[in-house]
Amino acid sequence: MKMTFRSILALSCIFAASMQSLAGEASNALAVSVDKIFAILGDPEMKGDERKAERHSQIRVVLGEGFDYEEISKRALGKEWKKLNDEQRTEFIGVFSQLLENTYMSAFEKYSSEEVKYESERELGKGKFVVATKVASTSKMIPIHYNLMNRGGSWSIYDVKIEGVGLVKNYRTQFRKVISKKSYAALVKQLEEKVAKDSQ
Amino acid sequence: MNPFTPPFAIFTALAVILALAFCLPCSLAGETDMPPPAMMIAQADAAGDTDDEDYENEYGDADEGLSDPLYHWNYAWYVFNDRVYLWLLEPTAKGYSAVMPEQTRGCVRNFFDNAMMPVRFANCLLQAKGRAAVDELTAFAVNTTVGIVGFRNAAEDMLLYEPQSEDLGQTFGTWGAGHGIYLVWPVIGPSSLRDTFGIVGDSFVSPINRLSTNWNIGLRTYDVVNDTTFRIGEYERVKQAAIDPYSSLRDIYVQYRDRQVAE
Repeated sequence: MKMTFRSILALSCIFAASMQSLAGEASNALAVSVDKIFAILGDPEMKGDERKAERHSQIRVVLGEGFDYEEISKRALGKEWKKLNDEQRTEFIGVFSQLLENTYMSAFEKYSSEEVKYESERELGKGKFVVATKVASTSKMIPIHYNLMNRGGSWSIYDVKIEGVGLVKNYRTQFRKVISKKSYAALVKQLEEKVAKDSQ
Repeated sequence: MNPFTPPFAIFTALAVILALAFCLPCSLAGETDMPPPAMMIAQADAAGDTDDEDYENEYGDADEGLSDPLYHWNYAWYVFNDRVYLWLLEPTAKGYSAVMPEQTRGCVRNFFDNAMMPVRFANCLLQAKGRAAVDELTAFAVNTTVGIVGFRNAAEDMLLYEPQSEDLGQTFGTWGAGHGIYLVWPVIGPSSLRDTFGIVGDSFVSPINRLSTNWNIGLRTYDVVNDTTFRIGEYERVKQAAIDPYSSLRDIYVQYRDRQVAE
């Protein structure tokens, strides 16, 4: 069954309207980003391989608005972050955010038609919230939890947990291993090589 | 007769080691005994400002995560499983799913899920989950009759019942046992000392193990291939996202299992 762009738009309007009434601010902020991505993926003018680069650059913008890459980098690096100067931090955020973007992009290419259910929102304190969602895949509903924080009125995602598996924690484990076995410089080099390879 | 049922002498020896694993989880397992991440965030936030120090508490990793003293053994099987999956299992699953419609594959999966009810039921009882145990029994009754020996998940359609995965490893976890150490097994994949005992224990209850060896292996293989058709590409994406796939998979295993235990 193929949905027309109009019906997707209508659905997302209904969805957005229902969101307003039942969920909190964090869920709304998340839904805005998610809907933007679905709108890009559902746009018939953006379909096909020849429009891939344009589609990706549009999604990249939405991801950049939605995710706090600095916060994610800081959390994923842990103690190592404190040892870095501003220049090194900027370099790290740049390369790590590209890896995250590539990862999400390949997931979106696969799951463009899935529906998102916003289940609940819970405050963790200090302007931090967890929004519980469920995404329908072919075989089951996959729980995805987003951690968002509010800084001066703008919301950003600083962690994602898919079926209980946290993004930040997962990269923390990997980064720790590479740094302890090799070095921080080796980690950056590995990230750069990976991003260069995946972006080809 | 049955390759999955070990001689009792070995089982007794394993039970002794398991008893040790119950005593040692704190020192060996590191972060696995920490509360779930959400709770840690709440604690970290309650403790004070969210500066860098709090991140360390939040993710609670004094070491690299689950201890991995058998790294070389585990790494060898990780490489082996990687090849078996990418070169054998996934191509087989792709071919099979090309000729078998999704609906049929869903029925096959329902059948195996239904047949494994005794394992989940026993573990619901062991974890004192009365409601879930009753749900399991009801769902089994409905699926076996209305659902035609389990091919249709009629219970889920009718009663909004969501089958939960329960196994002995999780039961040990709810009793307070840590993972012990990380273990990778050929074909089975990532596991831990605790969950290995769980697999062995569950095999005594599993109805498939009552069958002859050939049927047992045949049906298990079919179940795995059928299940894989619903996950094609997932493993590749995990690997693609990783900078160090081995430690990424290990962490995914730990986080995934800890959530199952917490539920």
